[in-house]
Amino acid sequence: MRARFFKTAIFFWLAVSLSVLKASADPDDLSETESRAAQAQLSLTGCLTRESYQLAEELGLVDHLTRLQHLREHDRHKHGVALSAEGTTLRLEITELVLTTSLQCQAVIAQIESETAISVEIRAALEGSRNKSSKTNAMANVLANGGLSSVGNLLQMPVETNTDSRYELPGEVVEAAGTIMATGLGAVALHQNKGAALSAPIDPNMLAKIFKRPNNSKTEYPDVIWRYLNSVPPGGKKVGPTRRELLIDRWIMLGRVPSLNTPKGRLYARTLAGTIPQTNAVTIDMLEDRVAMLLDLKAEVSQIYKELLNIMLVVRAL
Amino acid sequence: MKRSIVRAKIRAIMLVSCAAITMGEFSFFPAGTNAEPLSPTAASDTGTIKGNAAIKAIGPLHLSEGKVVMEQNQIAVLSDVADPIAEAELVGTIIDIHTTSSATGDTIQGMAIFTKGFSLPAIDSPHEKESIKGTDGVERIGRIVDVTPKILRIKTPAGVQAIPVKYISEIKSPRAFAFSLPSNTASVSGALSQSPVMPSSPPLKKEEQVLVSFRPTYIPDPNKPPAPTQLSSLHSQLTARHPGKRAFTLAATAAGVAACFAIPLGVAITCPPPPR
Repeated sequence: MRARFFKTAIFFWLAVSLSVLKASADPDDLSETESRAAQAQLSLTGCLTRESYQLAEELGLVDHLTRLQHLREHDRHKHGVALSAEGTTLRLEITELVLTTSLQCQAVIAQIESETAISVEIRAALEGSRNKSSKTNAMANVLANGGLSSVGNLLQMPVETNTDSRYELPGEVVEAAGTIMATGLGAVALHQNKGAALSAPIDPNMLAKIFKRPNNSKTEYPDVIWRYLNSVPPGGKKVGPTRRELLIDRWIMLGRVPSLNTPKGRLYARTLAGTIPQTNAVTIDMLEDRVAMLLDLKAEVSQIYKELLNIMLVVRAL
Repeated sequence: MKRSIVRAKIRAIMLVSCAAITMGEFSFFPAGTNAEPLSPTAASDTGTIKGNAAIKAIGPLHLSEGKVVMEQNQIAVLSDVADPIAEAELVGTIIDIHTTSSATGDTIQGMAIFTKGFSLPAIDSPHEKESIKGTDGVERIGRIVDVTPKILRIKTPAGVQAIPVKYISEIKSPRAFAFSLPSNTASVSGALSQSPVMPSSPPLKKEEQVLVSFRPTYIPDPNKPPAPTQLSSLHSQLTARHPGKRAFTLAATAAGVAACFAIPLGVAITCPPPPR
């Protein structure tokens, strides 16, 4: 009796486990995947975004995806039929490429983030130092403009009714001293507003290659990402500004860097990229520009993730 | 008498050939190639070179769209093909130009010693020791202070020594690179320019996309501690204390405040007291 009960229990447990396994083996519970699957059977270009298709072309994945499309395994696999050897190999190859590209993106982003963090840290320290100086200046201004002028006025008060204006001289002199001091402190405040300027040796960052300046192994881009940055975004003309050129155009338009057609612009680009010794050139303004540009670059590189996700969604749908 | 006539004839022949070489009359290359004339009699240490080539890297510098411009024993490395020569990353002098033949074709070889440029501090440090080994076997260690196509001057503890290029057997320097490029990329001629002038930078054409390779002559010792740089790190600059500056600021503030009170006080003392 007990043995029969155990047998029934084991059978029941196995049945439940198998049904759970079957359910988890089906990857297509998402309605998005289903809709993509329907589209993907018809056309790859209709299913992938133009940007994703471009990236797939750059990664050499279009052939893989087309072959997967011809295999038409999605529906059969959904109903529990195992994938073919060719399908499995293709999926593995695509996954390998996508994962490698994703990690390469992560490596580039890690380097950009590291450089951004250093720049932000130095800028914060420079701003802190500037704020401290401004505070001291403001206190001195209160003393000069307020304190001395008040003392001057007080000195003049007892003799204001006197017709001989010479008696107001001490008070006037004190007041004048306060005004002169306030003017001087104002000039100092203007100078302090720029903040301190530091110097740095040659240390190229991820902007160096973007500006076509010499970089080193630390700031090198993987080929896939460099090709992506140097490709024309789809949608516009076939021959037009690349993503890299569009980034630079945006920076010029926003006034972050002068036009690169001028020697001044090229020199500032070199300073931003850290490819020349920066003697008294590391200022708050320069660091602000560098941080903003690095963040823009990071955002552009991060777009690859979106396209990779699109490719993987299509692979799941095929 | 006969000797003097022969000498005069030799001189005349040399003069005519020099003029012809300069004007590009003698061509070593078949017609139709872009290459410029090559003097068959060019001595290895007196030739000049002219040409453009693409470059991807030199030492630790990576150049995605780099270009090398060579003319009149001068070499300039540009990081962007659109850059003017004045904004070259590296500028130097070429010595020991010669052509070699192999199964793959003729190549032009030589040595470039860089002395100027935006990126020179990235490959060289004034603290690095350079060495020149002569054909006499003596190695002179110091810093190369002057480079011409014919003579190198090195500053050693014993003083500045001038060494003719033809007596040099080996150079070890972080800014000296041996290069080689296919002979159809550039041309070599025997006319030596004593006052080389850098040319304007013509754009790199599609057919000029031939890569020039640079081989370093110096390998830094990885166990050697890094040479002290003139600039301290940004963090140390931020945290650096300047006692002199602080004392000056304090003294100036004290003097200013004292003056603000002392001047009116002085005026008050010197002024007549107000009438009662």
